[in-house]
Amino acid sequence: MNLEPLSRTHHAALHIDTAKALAEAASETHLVPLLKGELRKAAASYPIFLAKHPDTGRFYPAALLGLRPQENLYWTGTALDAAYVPCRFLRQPFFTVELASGGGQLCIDRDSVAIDAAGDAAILDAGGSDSAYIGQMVALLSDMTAQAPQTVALVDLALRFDLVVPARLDIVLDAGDQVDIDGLYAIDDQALARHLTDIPDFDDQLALMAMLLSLENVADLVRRRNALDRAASLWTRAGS
Amino acid sequence: MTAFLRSVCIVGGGTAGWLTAAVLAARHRTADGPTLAITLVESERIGIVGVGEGTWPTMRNTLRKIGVSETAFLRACQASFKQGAKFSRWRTGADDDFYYHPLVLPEGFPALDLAPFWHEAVATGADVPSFSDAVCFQDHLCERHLAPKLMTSPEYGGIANYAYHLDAGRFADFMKAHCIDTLGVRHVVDDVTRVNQAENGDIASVSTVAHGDVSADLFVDCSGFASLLLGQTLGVPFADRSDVLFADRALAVQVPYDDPDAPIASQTNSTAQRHGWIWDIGLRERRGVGYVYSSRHAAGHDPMEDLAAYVGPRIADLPVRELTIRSGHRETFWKRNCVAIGLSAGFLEPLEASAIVLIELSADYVASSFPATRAAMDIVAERFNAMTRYRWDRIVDFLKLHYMLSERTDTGFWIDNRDPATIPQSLRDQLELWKHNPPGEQDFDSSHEMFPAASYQYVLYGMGFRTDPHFMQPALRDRQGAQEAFRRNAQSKSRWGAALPGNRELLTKLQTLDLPRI
Repeated sequence: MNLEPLSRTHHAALHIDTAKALAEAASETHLVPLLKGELRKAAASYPIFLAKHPDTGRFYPAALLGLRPQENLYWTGTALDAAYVPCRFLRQPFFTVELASGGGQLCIDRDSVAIDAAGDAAILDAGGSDSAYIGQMVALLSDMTAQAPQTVALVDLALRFDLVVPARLDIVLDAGDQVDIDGLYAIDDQALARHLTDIPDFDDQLALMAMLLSLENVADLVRRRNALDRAASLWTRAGS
Repeated sequence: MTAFLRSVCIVGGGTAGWLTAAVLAARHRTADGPTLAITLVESERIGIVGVGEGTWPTMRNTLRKIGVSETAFLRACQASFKQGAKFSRWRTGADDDFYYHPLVLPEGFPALDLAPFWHEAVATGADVPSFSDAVCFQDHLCERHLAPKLMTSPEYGGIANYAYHLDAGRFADFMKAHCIDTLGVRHVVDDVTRVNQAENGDIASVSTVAHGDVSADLFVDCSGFASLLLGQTLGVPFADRSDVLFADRALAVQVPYDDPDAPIASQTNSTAQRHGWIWDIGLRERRGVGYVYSSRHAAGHDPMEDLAAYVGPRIADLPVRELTIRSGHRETFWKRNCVAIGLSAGFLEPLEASAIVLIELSADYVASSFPATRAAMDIVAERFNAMTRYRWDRIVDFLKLHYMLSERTDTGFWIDNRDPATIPQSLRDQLELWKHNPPGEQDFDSSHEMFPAASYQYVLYGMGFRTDPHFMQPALRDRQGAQEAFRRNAQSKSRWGAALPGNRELLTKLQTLDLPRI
């Protein structure tokens, strides 16, 4: 990754291939962090867990997309087969870098494969003003920055009430393979039931319940993986 | 109506006093508050000895039960992670002579014992790694100064088993603050001027200068070497063990790091010297170094020379503290309504960090078996005495094991340590059995064992002792299981050697970040 502050002077001629951008972000991602505002929508498509950041040990909510590292079972090869696309995928190849003086700096990853002269989205329009595309990206990144502290607060709240428990997934696939995933945590339904009235904010209640209900989507992940394994097995047999 | 025992007076602060207070107070409380009135009387004039900068892994559970955060403990006590001990120059005295006593059990132990398989490999004459390196991945971590856990590991949880190195003075202060602020322990800063006995011989109260008489149902003697209550007042004699363990002096010095980013050793380094050994403990901001020696054997030599040779020229600018070690313990530890915990109960050279763990174990027993009545106290005391004496004997045996297997002939200190007359019969019996069978759980059948069979294997085979393989043939049956265990150990080295952060790296991070609670 090679982040560079986005500027009209230096990046006026850049184009982004938005399909490549999505592929770069999503195709090999098995766990994608979510913001508080995304939880309700994401819960309809993905199982949502809490994971720990390897550098800080801090918990963050994340959608599980695959059963092993670098596996995204929702990725079709060209698109995400889900009703909701997480912000982390949509913002590629743009990032917000926190400044020491406070505030954030919009940056572009110069190493991104999505930077392509033939790309469908320009940074500036023909008149030299910000394109509608970059306007959307700025709004998205600004919203992500604004939601970050709310997400931290939600996680803190869940930890404070001991709602977070280790979630060990022991899955046996149709092909007989055993899949063990550890390092994931989930909202405990019993604990949430005990403390629901202690949580005054309805948005917080909904977000936590959405995470809880989203765990039903683990079955969807397994189904997707079994389907892929079946297809692979047929292909192997056909080729042998 | 039955008169229940409800009050405890602990005489003396320091590690023993405050840790005991915390263990007792944390156990004896309900949601409404303390169920035991605990008072700790501490003199301002008498400093703490602060011996013991190494703990056992038991400390993790002790701290958890007391209710403190591991991150807060690490910060406040300048603590670091300890993954065992490295013994250098104990066997032959050569520069490349070393072995580890790690804290992780041998792979598969005790269901599977790899010792016979390792012996078999050694017998082939092939280039076989040391016993601990072959059966456990922790040597590999220690040699690379790695931490036993990740930033994502929960408090008190880790990838490899671990204990702590800590600043004993800061630890006592940390415990004190927790006891007073959170656990409701009453703190009396005053000098004890007299110990008052009741007609039946029990201790009725201790008189203080400014706070009058402090009475209690149970007194805990944490007065250090003075043993003010158990030794001086109740007259319990001292059992001298210097016939087995010869060290009677220590020179201690705190050595700053040359480079503030220097690696922090992941283990206690114990380096044998002419007349004893040097401990070297890496904390975050300094090292604690000390030379434990036998003054009788060192007569005519200046022990400072050995310490200076180890520390280097800068020792000239560092204050060196001299301590007298009286190896041994009280004949009994709980008499009438007084129990001694810490140095007042006894002390042995800190070769296997036994000081603090004995405080934990004793405090835990007193807390969990706290007698409801005075009549029950004598029964609890009798059990405590039998258990604690057993523990001291096992520690003496285990420490002696380190010495008696040495092949060093350079001084009388090492030669005398092999004299059978100085080796307890219990240890000689074990050695006789281990000539043909590796140490196993069958050799340690008490529920109050101090060291597991695996610890004996690590020291025994690290020191060059070999169990005769001819009698072990039946133990070689599960060859496939052994191969898998050796392979798992190799995988653990490779995986965790690459994934775990450096000891200093993680400890530095923990100055600003908190370990997750789960």
